[in-house]
Amino acid sequence: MSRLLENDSLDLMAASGVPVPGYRVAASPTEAAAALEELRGKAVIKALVPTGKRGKAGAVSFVSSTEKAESEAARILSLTVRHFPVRRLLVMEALDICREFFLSITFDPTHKSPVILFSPSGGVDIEELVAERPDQLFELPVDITRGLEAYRCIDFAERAGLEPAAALQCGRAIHGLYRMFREHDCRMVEVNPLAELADGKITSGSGVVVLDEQALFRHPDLEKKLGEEQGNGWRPLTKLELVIREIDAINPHASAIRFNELDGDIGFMVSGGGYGLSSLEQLTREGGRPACTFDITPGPFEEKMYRTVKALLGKPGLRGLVLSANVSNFARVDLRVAGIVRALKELDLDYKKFPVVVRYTGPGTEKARELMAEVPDVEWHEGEFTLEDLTRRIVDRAYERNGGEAE
Amino acid sequence: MSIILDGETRVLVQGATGAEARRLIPTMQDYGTNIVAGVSPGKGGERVCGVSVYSTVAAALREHEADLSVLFIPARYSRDAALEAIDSGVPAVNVLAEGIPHHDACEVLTRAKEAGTLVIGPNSQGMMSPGKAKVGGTGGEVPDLMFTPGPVGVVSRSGGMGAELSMALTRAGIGQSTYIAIGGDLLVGADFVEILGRFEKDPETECVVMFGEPGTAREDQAAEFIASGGFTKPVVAMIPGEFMENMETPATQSHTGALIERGVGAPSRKKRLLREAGVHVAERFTEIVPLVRKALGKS
Repeated sequence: MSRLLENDSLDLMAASGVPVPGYRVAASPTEAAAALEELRGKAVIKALVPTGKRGKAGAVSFVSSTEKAESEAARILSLTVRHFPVRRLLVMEALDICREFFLSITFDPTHKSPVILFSPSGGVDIEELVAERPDQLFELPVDITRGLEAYRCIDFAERAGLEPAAALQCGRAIHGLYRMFREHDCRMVEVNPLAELADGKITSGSGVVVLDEQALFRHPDLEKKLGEEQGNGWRPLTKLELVIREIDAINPHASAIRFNELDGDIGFMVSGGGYGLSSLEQLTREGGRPACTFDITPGPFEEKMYRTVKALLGKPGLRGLVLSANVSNFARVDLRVAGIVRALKELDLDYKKFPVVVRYTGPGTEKARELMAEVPDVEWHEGEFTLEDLTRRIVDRAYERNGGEAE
Repeated sequence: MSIILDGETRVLVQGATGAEARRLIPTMQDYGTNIVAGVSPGKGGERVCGVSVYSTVAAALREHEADLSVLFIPARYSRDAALEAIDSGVPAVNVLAEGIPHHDACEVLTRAKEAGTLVIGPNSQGMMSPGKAKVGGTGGEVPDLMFTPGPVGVVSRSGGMGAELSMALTRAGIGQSTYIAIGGDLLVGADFVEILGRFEKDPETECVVMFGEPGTAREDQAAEFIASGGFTKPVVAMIPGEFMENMETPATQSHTGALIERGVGAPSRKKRLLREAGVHVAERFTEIVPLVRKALGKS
């Protein structure tokens, strides 16, 4: 997930004509107090972290005095919100809200089109509300090749139950938001609440923009904004994940690595999306505790395999390593294995005591088998050994179950 | 018979002069694939492995007829190439690239639907009718390791698992009629329903194995299609990922994600709906072969 921070999201929204309130970014209590003054003395301070549900984490606070702004800013800056330490704050003009709507745009994989979701009853409990009253969620699928005219947005808002004046403003906001969704290759955009103020004006109470990682090559400016604060989508990167990112960066266009560290004790380098997921499910059924997930796309991967194995085996508390991939069409198994063999030789562990179970098949299997034979006591398997054999074997050996010593 | 692809299918290769195509064209030809022409912008007049190359799809179609175009085109250029094939009237397009921007995929699928073009993919590993023809990466240099002709249709969102379960069938002496990697992306063209509909009409296919994944309603739609009588042959299915349902994942972090899915997409739900439709659901990979054997009446 590539979720922009809220200030960057609001910048994009404003540039596309979506109404947004005044806001500033602050990195200290003093800056927060100064921002409050510029925003006419009433503001909401929010943690600037790439994750949602900040309100429920106590990281959103209304302030209307310098003292309160400073103390609340200091408090929120000391928080960690859903694993993300708070480093900066968004100070946003407080709104005199009389009605809250919900607005978002995403892709609907069933209709294979963008879809606009709108509810005349927005707010933090939107999911519960829609579960109880599904008729309060309105959907507008968009033909991406024809685009979306403003009149259709206004009509949509009226059909969702808004009076003409509110529907006009909401329709314009929807129109602007859809333009932004298209121009910046967004995966998802969300405004919750889209707020109607006491004076009848409509503005955005918040802004979430999730970019399409697969389209970042078209948006180098936005890619820069993402930075490393993103983490892996639900928490900041661990030290080991940062090391693996560096390994991946040695040749970013060949053999891309996906790696997530987990808190288990079996090094789990089983690649191939469906194969990796099936193996991971089977490993957990067997009682195995994975220390990571790993995937690598085919390419010249010897060096990346070598460095990743070395880095992973530096993780404390590991009890074994399993290496595999689904049957390969082209990617040479011996290239993968050459990197693994180099790492295992250099590490020079006692592989009777630290089990390493390997299963590959595809072009180059014979050469791979010969290479692996150079490392004593590593278990080598080929196509007849299923993912279930593989996961059972590593669990038996790592946890010494069923007499799981080396054969 | 097979579906979509057989030895007669006239195949156009887009991106024919690229490294991947140069490596794959000979393996497809050796296997029996009827490659009629290649396309690479600016390379008209060249030849690759005996195949004439044209600069555009339209130029190729002035000299040849094509039933299917397969795209050996990098992700960032796939939209343009796919639209070229669609606009030129090629009836079916197989998009292989992984990582195509979602907006591009959406445009391609919308235009294909308007034109009545069948799109397989994106992020498809290709297609294989064992003993007849193959396109894309599927089978690669070692097709016989994974595939052998027979009565089982295989359709998978994951290219790797489709190959892996075909290999398990082949090792058990059970062959396949056609294998289709429908693609692992959020937005793909042909889905399970489309492929099941074609397997239904194929007299050679006696049973289908489908491999699903978490997310989207593709398996739900398949269950509905089967339950309503659209597909009448036995189906064996596997959908991994139930163990992740209570884990913290990025998808659960927005209201929009929750609202668009509303419980749809969970493997447990997919498996339940498929079971209710009479599908034999394998919880474990090694259950697939015995279930297929039973479905074929060869227990």
